Amino acid sequence: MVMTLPFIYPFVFLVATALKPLPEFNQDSVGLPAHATLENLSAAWNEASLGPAIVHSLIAVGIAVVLNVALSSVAAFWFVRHRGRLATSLRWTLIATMAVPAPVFIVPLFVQLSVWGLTDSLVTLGVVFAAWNVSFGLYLMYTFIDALPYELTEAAEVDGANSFQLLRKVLLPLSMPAMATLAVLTFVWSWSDLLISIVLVQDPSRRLVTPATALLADQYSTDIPKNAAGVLIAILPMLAVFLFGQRFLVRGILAGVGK
Amino acid sequence: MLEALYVLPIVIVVGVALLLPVASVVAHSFTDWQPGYGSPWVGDRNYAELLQSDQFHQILFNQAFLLLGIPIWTILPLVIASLLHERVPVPGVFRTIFFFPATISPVVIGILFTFILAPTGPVNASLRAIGLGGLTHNWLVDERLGKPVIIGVLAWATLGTGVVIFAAALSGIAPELFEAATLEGANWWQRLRYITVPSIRSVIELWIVILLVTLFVGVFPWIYSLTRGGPGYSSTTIDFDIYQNALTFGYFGLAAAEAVVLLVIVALVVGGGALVGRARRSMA
Repeated sequence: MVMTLPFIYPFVFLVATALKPLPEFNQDSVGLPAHATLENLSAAWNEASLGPAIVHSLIAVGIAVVLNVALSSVAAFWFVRHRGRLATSLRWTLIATMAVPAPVFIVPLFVQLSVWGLTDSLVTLGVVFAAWNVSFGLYLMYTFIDALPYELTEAAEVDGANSFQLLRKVLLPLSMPAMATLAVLTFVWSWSDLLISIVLVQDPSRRLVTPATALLADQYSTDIPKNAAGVLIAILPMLAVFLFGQRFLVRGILAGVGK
Repeated sequence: MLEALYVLPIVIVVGVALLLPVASVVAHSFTDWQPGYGSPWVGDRNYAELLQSDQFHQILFNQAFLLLGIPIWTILPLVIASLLHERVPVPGVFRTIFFFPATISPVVIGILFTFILAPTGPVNASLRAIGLGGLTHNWLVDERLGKPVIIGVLAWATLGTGVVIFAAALSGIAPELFEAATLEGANWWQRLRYITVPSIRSVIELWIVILLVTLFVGVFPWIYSLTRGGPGYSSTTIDFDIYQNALTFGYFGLAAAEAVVLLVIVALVVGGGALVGRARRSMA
């Protein structure tokens, strides 16, 4: 169908451009490469240090995913069992921080973390990514656990399970689908971020892959094929995540709008 | 009591990373904030400066201009979702094609579009090839074109998420409604107008609230990659200006005041959305 062309062409163009020598691109930006080369890819890879950048991203984003899933599920479990006025208002306060956008908290957070000497750290960045996504995580996990049949926990409690056993043996295994959804979403959102990572990690030797790609294309460089190669390298991991996790992404987005 | 340990970590993380900074930014918006040095109280001077500055007026105008994108970003995915719903044999394949861009980092998509819109890029090359060379532009460094181009790129980027959300909502409508309407002779447009839109109105409203919030707090990566807010301030948004004021120019007090303005706008949009939803429910 014609409708999909505008959504396929940019990626065809991207791959074609990344494989084209610069002089050929300047002659013809539209066609397929006549003298395909891998030089742009290796130039982008080296110049933007994309290898180390991918490792940095995996570390920070990995911390964010593990922390977000752990904090959200455990807290959701507690909130399902505590519905007093205090606990309910605490739950709403935490979920309401979804409305606190990064442009609002990033400057004061950067200033405070500088005072504590915690900037330029992949661990700090991972924790901040987790904090940024944990309100959604709590909302998602609370909704999921709350909807599980009450009899399941009741039976375990009759059998004498304490709250830790209940959490570990009954609720966490049952919550796997929701945790997978949350993990994929946290991965995609944190991996895609520019503002938080560009402010909190300014040391070029610890740069993440998204800012590294942005800065490669940034230096008033007119070498479009090389920049396209950088963009292609940045997109490939997302393609893998997309193919593997599309189901979870769709489920997570729909959960976000209450479906 | 030991069970409080289940919530303590989330409270600490959210408190330190989000709530303390919000308190700090509100307090510092009334000071001449110089991190590392004293931050003398200046009352409402930062706000007064914003209100009087031509740049901030331009920024508010830019934000208002971008609101023109909302109908486009809503109608396009709605029409495509309803076409997929009624007429396409394998809707999943099409949904996948539209949805993939939603996975990619906004700044990376923005960079991809700078290639496509470059003076020598495929848009201009195609215009020349079909004899419309007079329509070629340097799309991203033209004061009149920056904002419309941003609206267009965002239409491309938001489509997939919109289609996913609307398609899920559409699948909740009873097929008998469409069949009955078709038997009565309603055409596609009438079915969209009189069945689809009224049935999923609350989802459409929620989508508009999401777009509004994104428009004020999530355009930074688009502006950063496409125009850098330029030329001049002709495409600068509030979130981009906060970054620029604090990190590039060192005007931390001004950036703090802008952050508070953003916070108020988000509260109004989210609160307004909730009120509209409640009013409609109580009427129904």
